Amino acid sequence: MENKYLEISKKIQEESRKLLSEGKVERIIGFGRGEFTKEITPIFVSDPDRADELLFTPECDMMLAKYLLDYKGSKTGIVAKPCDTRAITVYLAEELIKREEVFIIGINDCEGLDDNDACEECGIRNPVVVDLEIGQPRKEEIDPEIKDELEEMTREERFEYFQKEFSRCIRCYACREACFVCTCDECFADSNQPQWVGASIGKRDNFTFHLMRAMHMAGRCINCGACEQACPEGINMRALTKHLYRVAKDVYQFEPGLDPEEKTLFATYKLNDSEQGFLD
Amino acid sequence: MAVLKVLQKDELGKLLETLSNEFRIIAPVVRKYGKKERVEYHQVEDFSEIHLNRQPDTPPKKYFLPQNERLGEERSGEEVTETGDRKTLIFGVRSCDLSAIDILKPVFLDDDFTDTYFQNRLENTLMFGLGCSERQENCFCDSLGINPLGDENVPVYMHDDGERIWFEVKAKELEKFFTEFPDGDPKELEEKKNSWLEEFKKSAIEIGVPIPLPELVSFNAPFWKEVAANCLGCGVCTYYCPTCFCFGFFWEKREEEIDKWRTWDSCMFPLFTKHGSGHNPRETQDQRTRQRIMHKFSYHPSNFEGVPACSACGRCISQCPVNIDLRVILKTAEKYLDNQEGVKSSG
Amino acid sequence: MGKYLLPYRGEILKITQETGSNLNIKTFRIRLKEEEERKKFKFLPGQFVELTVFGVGEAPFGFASSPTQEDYFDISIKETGLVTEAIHNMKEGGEIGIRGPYGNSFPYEEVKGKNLVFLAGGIGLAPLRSLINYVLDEKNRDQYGRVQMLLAFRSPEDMLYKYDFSQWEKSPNTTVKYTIDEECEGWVHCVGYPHELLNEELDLKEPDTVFFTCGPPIMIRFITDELKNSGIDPRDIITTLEMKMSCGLGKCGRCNIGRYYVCKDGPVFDLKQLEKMPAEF
Repeated sequence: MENKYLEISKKIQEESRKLLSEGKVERIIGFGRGEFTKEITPIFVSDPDRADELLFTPECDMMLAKYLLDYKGSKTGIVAKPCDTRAITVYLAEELIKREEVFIIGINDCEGLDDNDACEECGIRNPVVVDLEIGQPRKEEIDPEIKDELEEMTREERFEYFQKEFSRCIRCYACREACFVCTCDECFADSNQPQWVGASIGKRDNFTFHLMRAMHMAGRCINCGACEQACPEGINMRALTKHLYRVAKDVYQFEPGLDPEEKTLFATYKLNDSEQGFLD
Repeated sequence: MAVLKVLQKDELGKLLETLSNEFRIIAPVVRKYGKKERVEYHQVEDFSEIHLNRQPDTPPKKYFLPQNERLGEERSGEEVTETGDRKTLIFGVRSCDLSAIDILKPVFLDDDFTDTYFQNRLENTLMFGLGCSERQENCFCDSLGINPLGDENVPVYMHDDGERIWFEVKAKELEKFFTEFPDGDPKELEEKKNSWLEEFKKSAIEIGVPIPLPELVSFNAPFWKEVAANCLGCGVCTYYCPTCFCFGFFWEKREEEIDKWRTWDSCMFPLFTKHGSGHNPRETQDQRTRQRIMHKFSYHPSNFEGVPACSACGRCISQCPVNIDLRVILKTAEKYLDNQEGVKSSG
Repeated sequence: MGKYLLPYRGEILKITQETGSNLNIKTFRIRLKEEEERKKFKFLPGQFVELTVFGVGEAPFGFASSPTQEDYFDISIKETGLVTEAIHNMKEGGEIGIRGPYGNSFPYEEVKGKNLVFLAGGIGLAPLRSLINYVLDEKNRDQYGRVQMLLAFRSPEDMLYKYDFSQWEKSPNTTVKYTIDEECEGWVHCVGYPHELLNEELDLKEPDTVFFTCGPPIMIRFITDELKNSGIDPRDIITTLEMKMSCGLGKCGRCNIGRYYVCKDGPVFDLKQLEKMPAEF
């Protein structure tokens, strides 16, 4: 492990031990390493003696914020990359969690993660909400371009592209479960009265599922790439969602998960809002 | 006694060419999706594509239980399986996946309700086994008593020593495909096998849980919440599993006709057991994880002569988006049960 | 070889509106269309079938008629979801798919010579009716001892099989009691939940008595508790379980409780078996 990450990990362990032994949080949600796999896996530490299991490396590509929803009503500490803090911010804005129930150990100056292309398109390198900062914040701002493949395509080309990509979908719903935005008690895809999507993995049903899911993402997706990282079939999940992200940003000047006080995009309407739709 | 043949790797094409006159050849090939490189089973025409170097990411289960299978026209159809004109040959199936098919057999070929679809596919398919000359990512078949270098139930079993492929041809009727290739020295292969097995032993993990897991004690154990805490609740582990066989039905209208289809389903999905009334006996993710593990290591072996519904291929571990490790769960169960008095003796 | 995953064609002979619109339960008299198939179709009390509404889906239902009635079978259905709604909308003469029969059965052979008590709540009477009519059938009646029934309904409006009652009451050595949840005008029978009335209204102390109960899960729980407290052997308390069943073959993975598949090893279990199963109902 590089020195920088060793230091971050040490600091996380130190602070977590303190928070847990002082009873400031009941548990810390963070990253640890598998006993046999040696891969990164989300862990939940409530014993201060186990704080040493917490670590941070560029392999930590899972979004942890969603686990906060499992621990409502108690105080939980969370090791949060800047994208995790944006997810937390969306939860705060949507009143899904209470600020006082979360203690955010935020990682400053995120350099992006291994193998997550979304990081290259991310301009938020410091935590958005934070209780305890790890490392020095990054000073200079960046505004990387979002490589929106859909922009260049005609409607027909888009249709064909998605038909092809989604034809590999096995409907395991890893994308949905890994996505912090997907918090519905019952997903439309699981509803059978009415049934919106069929159970087959045929082109039509797969396409319907992904398109309908995307419609719920507009103005809420932060382009973190968790869906794509989770997909076992290597489907270019973000082709759809990052387009939505870009439209929200360029057309409505809205980037979700930056301000917990801000209303969500769909909860606001301005007279001068553009009439452009998200999939135009 | 099996006939032993050795082929140079560049001779594989020749062998497969002749085999393909009689069989539809399915084999592992590399596919690239974005930055992801996967090894998957596909029907192969260009035999140079075949990739035997590692365990395929997906098991060959779909050739026996397709994810979507048309059962027939619902109103008046008969139970007929569409298997094609030629028999299917699945080339290079490792011991874990061969064992997995054996695990499925008593489930679908039971005397009460023989599944004709599975039966027909099984009868129309033969598999060439492939030994693992090294441990694959996250697998532990040897811990469950599976031999990574052999299987009694296949007509041909292969070994890859890096340069050549060895063929143990056990079925007389297949010998004709191998006559032009040179014989191998059984002693040489034996030595190779021994050295591979030695390597396996070095990296072996001892799985000491009693199988079947004692039902009530394990079910009521407190560790399920802990081992399932980071589970996302997706179906990857079950859909990549070579032995998971849960299914559901769906219907599709074709003009006036209605087709009934069978589709994979997963015990990890909340809807799987939800009653029409809204009541769900497996409401939470830890209950569903418990069902997955208990089914594999308690209920199934209790019903099927002690054989767990797991062939330890490790795909559920490798493919899990949050890297949940079945071995860790089994070790946790082992530790817990060790501390419960009298569990091991009472079974 | 028969079909297991695709249904046989059946037809609805008769539809009876059992209850008022509140619970909306109808009984469907059904038979297989083809005579050959009809002859082969043999079921036992306690078993169930999967019924298909073509183009909608399928769902499991217990037999509500006795196998002594060979030409057809009855299925009582409460309108709750997609499939049941579709069945409710069907007309006499309509075509319906049939898979089955599936599951084990009530131990109608083993309990010969014994006294029987039936405790039913609402539509839970449906599967018991299959056994009741079997036991009370003239051909079988003398093979069983005394028969007592306590049939519970929400209200007089929600009663099922009213047309059977006079015959049941007339059957030798048989007593039938009725109860509703709340007092109402014109009601001359018991009032209250069945578990509260057990000791008072029935003779539980008679030796060699086997109890059959079916109804809402909460009722079954109270009744079995009450019976156990009265010293009844759990092996003599028999019920039928409702889980999400789909394939009926013990394969698809939904309905297992521990190692037992309700659709194949059940749906009928005695309390002793249930007590040994993991609590996952």
